[in-house]
Amino acid sequence: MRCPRCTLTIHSTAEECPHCGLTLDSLDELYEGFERNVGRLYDGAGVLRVFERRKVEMTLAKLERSFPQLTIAVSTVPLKDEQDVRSYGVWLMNRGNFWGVADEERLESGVVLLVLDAEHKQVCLHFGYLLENGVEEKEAFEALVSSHPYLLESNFSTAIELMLRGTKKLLKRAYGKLKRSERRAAR
Amino acid sequence: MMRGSARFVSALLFLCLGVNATLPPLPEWNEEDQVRLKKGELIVGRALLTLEGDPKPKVNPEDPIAEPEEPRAVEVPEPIVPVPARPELDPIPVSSDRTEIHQKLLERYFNSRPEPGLIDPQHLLSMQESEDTRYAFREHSAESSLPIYFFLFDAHQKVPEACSPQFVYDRLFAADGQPVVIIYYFMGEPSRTQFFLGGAVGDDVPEWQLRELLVNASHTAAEKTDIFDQLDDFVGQLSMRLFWVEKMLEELVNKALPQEVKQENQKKDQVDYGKWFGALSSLGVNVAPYILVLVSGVVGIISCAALGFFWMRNRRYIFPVSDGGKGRLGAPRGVSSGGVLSFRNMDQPPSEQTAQFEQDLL
Repeated sequence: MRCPRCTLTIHSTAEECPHCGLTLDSLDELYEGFERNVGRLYDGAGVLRVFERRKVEMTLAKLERSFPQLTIAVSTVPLKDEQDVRSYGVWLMNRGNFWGVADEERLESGVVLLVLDAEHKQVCLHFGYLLENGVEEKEAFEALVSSHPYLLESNFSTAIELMLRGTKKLLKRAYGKLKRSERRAAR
Repeated sequence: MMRGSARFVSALLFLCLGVNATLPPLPEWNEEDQVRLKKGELIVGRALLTLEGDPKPKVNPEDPIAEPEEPRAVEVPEPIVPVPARPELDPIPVSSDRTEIHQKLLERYFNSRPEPGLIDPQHLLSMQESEDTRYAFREHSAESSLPIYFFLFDAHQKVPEACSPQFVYDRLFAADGQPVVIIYYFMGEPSRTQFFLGGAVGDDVPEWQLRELLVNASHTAAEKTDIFDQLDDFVGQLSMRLFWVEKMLEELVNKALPQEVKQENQKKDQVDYGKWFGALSSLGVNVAPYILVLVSGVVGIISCAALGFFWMRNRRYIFPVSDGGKGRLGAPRGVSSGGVLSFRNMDQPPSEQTAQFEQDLL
């Protein structure tokens, strides 16, 4: 795995980054003042219109029906220069209060968070411990690639729809991979 | 050039004169020959046309193989015996006022059951007119189940009471009970036409409808002056009116038709509606089971596809839960993230952003 701030490889059991000393507490300082109480869709950058937000929320609800263990959320924010989309995503995934999610277990390890930084024009997909062994870094990147032309045009609604479609395929693939691993481990 | 042509022409003239000079002189007529020619005893050019003038081949006495030819036998044609003049058919006497129909003609009309269509034993129509009328009846029979027996008479001929349409129907057509239309048409006198609808339906059809049909056809025919045009119009109008009457009374006609005829009509309809099936059936292939299997297969595939789609859409993916690996960097929910997709620079496509996945060497 990589450190969300310095992006260097760290051990999977490390309690802090050996390269930059990152912990979750340090991220709390970095993102102090950022909204923690967010819904499944948080448009902090204000790039979506009302009807576009509704459309994205419906897509998120459908996705969650197919994956009942997961909490799937989308967040758009304008980040400052010393902040970045990776670390913000990790911070929000762990510190955010996703209202409307009744099941605590879904929050515990099954969060899938798509973060779009409208200031630095970057987008990144984060996922919780439940999917950690099923999703690779590059696969998560490729799930977002098809939205690139729309992101360049600032058509964020269509871009998010496409990214969620890619995320669905990614999750299905991860499901197959994890199931196979489970069967292999059982043997 | 001119000189050469003149030389060539003069040489040709000299050559012709030289040839003429070598020919023998032509024979001359004498008086004896002229007398024989006038009497017909001498035929000019006989030697060229017959063997008489052929000179005998010269026989070489020294040649032992050559033998004189035997004289040829001349065939003498048999004398033609004159045959006394006699008409080929016995003429049918015609009454002076041309109103009566001779018994022989009546027999030809009504002796046996005729074929549907035109019945004209007197040959009142020319061959072309007769063919045209028969064609009209063939067209009618192709579309109608009511056969028409169209008896043609001359303008002033009177049909005896014993040969009225009712009697003719009873004698020739009543046996099978099928509905038929019998018409006596008088050439040039369409108003004298007699109409009879036989069969069980005949009693059920209202009299006024038949009368209207007949009057309309007669009036249409009377509009023409030429008698064949009258007949043509009458047949056309009759067929048209009969078609509509038949449509209106279809139930009555069908009721009157025997069961075999109904079945035959049904079979005909089936063949018309399913030409392909008919063609396959004629090849000895019973298509019904194949169609059933095909339809069942298509329905089955569509059902499976619909069920599959429904199942995929409503499928729930439950991930296997593992307890290991939690609490990295002090994070309770997770710290994993995918690659970052940047869209700041239009000239940097996603394919050029994959360098971030290269493993660092630290």
